[in-house]
Amino acid sequence: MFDSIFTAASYLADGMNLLFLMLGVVVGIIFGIIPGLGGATAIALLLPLTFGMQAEQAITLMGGVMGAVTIGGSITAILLNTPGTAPNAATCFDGYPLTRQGKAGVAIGAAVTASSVGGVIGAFILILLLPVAKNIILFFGPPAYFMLALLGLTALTAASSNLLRGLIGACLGLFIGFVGYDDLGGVTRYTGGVDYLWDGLSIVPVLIGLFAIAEMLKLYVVGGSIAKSDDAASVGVSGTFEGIKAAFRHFKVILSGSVIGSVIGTVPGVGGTVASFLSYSFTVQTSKDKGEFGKGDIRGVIAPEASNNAKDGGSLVPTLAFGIPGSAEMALFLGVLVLHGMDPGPMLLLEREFTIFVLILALLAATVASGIIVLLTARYLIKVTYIDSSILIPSVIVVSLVGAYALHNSIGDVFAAAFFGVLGYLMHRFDYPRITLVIALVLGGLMERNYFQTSLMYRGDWSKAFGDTPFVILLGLVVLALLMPVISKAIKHKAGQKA
Amino acid sequence: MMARRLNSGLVVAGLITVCAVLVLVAAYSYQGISGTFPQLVGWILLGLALLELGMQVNAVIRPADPGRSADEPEAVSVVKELKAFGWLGILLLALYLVGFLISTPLYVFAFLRLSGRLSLAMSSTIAVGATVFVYVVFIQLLKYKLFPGVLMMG
Amino acid sequence: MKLTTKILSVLCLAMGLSFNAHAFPDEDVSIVIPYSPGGGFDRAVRAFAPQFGEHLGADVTVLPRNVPGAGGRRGTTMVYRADPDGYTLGVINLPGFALPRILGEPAEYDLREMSWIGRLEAQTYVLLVSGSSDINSVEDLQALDEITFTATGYGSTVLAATQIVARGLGLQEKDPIYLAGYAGTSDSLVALVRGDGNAAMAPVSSAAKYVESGDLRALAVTGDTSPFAGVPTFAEVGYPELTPLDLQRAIAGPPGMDAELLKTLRDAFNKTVKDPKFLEAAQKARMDVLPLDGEATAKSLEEAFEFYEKFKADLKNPNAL
Repeated sequence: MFDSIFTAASYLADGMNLLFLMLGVVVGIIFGIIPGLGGATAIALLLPLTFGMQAEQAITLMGGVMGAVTIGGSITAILLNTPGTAPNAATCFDGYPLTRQGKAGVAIGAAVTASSVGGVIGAFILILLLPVAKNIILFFGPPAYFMLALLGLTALTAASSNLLRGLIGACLGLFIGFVGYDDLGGVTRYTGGVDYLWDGLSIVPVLIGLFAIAEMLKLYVVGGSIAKSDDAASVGVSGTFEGIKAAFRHFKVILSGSVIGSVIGTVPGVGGTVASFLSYSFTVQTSKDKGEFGKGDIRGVIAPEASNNAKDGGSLVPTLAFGIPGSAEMALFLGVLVLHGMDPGPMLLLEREFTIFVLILALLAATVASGIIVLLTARYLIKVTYIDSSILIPSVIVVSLVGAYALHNSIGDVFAAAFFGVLGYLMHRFDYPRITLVIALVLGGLMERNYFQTSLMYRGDWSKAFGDTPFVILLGLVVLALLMPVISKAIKHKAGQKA
Repeated sequence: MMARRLNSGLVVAGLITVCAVLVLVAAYSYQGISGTFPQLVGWILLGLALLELGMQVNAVIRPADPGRSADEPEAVSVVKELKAFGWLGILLLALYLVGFLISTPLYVFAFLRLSGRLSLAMSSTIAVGATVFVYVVFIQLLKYKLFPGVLMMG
Repeated sequence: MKLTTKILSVLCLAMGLSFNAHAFPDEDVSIVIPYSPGGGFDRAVRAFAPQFGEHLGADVTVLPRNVPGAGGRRGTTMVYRADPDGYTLGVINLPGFALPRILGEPAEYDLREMSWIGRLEAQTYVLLVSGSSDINSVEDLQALDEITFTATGYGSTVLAATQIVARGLGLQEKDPIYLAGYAGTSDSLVALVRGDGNAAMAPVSSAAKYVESGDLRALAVTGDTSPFAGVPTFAEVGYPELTPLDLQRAIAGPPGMDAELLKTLRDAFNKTVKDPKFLEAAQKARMDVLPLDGEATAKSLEEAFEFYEKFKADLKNPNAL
């Protein structure tokens, strides 16, 4: 195996291939920054270009894109409260407040470092998991997926500051997820006959609305510019250095984020968004002083960013092992593989070790390279936040809506984004958390589908589910997540009594 | 001031309750397993909404204690909010009718002039700049066929 | 993409190929792909488009356009409603896009009215069981008391194929369970390997790698010949009525196309499918090229409708209540 890694590394270092890698990285960053565009669109765009290439070159190019996209996305999340890609949504929660305090440089420095290191860790985990990839995929069945979805939902809801409103938000998110054709029961739900809604509401226009547009509406009402502080120091290079140092100081957060990202990444259909939210929530729950989260706690930036790069490694596991894409991005990547004669499946991992290592190393190199590029250009990017809101608002809204349209070539997505923009603004105004809504939206479908699959599988007898190991483990975690707030309050109370 | 804020919380809770009832009714029209989860979540939502409603009513009836004023949000002008929604609505209408390439410069220009009160020169430049950005990135680079608007099609 | 195609066109001219200049294609022709980029239909059209453009005329570019949504209905409706001027064509999933009408659902298009240009690919279905099970033949499967099929959701061709085979083999009497909610064919096959169910149907191309690796075992295939050594066709084991079950990809235009126009397109299609450059691209794209000209495709569609009508009663949602 090690000589394969070495050969792959020397392959990548070769001039032409390095060029492809950098091209992928630059494209990835740009597509990551613009909301609505993302890894999937970038890969779709570059796909025809790869027709004449060798398989490894195409893979290097795509690896470059995938490794760079979420780093690009973190910039808009931090500076404009707009997740550039869905997995960057959690980064907004603490990244944007930092920007408002004039500490954008710190946030970017930390985000980039967490992303790069997280991506590296994720790549290593991928190398470790690949030999047992098949077993991992086969290990998780409908009972486990159902429990996993439930875990995600409970963990995040239990962590909300206002439990009642968090739950209401979750219910709303579930209902938004119900919209569309249900292929289990064969019934179209909550569409009111509107064709556009037949496929349901896709997460990207919803996120663009809830975060980007809502933020612009907020900015209009409140006025001023995004960054309030005149402290130029934290904007410049020193700010980013401080961010980098902070990331390493909280290395444990990077580690937990990467592990969560890799593991969740292996679950098809769940992907980066859930991974970053879970990582964020996990960090919040397991921190002693939680007061600053949501107001600019640097750990709130580190956790999701580490996981949304680590998930690239994880999501390759089902893609390579079985040709099951975990996301739209992976589906396209699969298309690239097939086009170049690589048929993902039980045979691939045995037959094409070299190519796979090229991919893994490309991902690794891309995360690091894009991190460096962003750090170097951070100063200029941050200037955006000092632009007066009158100029920023129409520009961001227009670009966001174009991005929303570009996703599926559908004007419906534009209206959806606008609708959720208003909803997001209202939710902020009346103090309802958006995070539980988003998580419920992402996980709802998974939960429902696997609930019925499990029920059918066991012919209605759920007691049989307790024979499924991952189901039991995850059930334990759900109980733990529910009890966590109670437990930590009890511990604090005891500590308070002793003092 | 305090009473008005609490009333808005009350209105929201009321609205959510109404929504819960509506989605629940719809859920019962979906036969078989398609209806199961919507019904379940519908009842939960209704319960939660009523709880929230109860809490809001409680807060209005009982005199508010001064310690709570700490988390009162900054006074927000409802007029400004409506204007914000209005601008968004106009943009949507324009996009629907004439598409992106025409709406973008018009909207950006109008917004900068009317709301931002920028000079004619600045407004035009930025409007053109935004349009050029959209054009170059989405049409040239990405070869998208951006929505031409209902009036311009066919 | 446009640049590459233009270069190819110029090269071909340089090689001295001569085309008949038709009045018809004097601007770009679009082929609508009703799915997102990256899938089998997308690959097929992108392999087909360049050569098709060449055979249509010297300056013609054929542009693949992705219009995903509603399981393929959005793109197909777009083609159905387009002007029959020959500039908008679409790639059609048979019987997939015919199913809504057959299942009695409201459909905004009728495939039988469309102008068929030709069929690109055809694939057969295979009946699968887990490689680690004791089931070695169709009879073994029929001997089981509890049968659980894994499949994709209601409205999908795989589920319909499963129900038809279950009827054909007499398995419906055993009241089988249809675990019909997996997100994709790959997911349903992995589920079979995992043991969530004990049998499944899948198109040959999706199943091939699992049969090769031994994770799944093929019991029988539809169609006239078996691509798997040692695996019989349904006809060979006594169920010839299951033979017509298949999956096809064909190109069609909106209804009401002018006869001249249709002929131009059909001629170009017929030339393209024999073109070695296309066949090479098709091989790279893993296509199962089995061309059929326009008229034969239209006829094949009629036959497909009849076939599915026969089994209509079995195609209801198995998990409706």
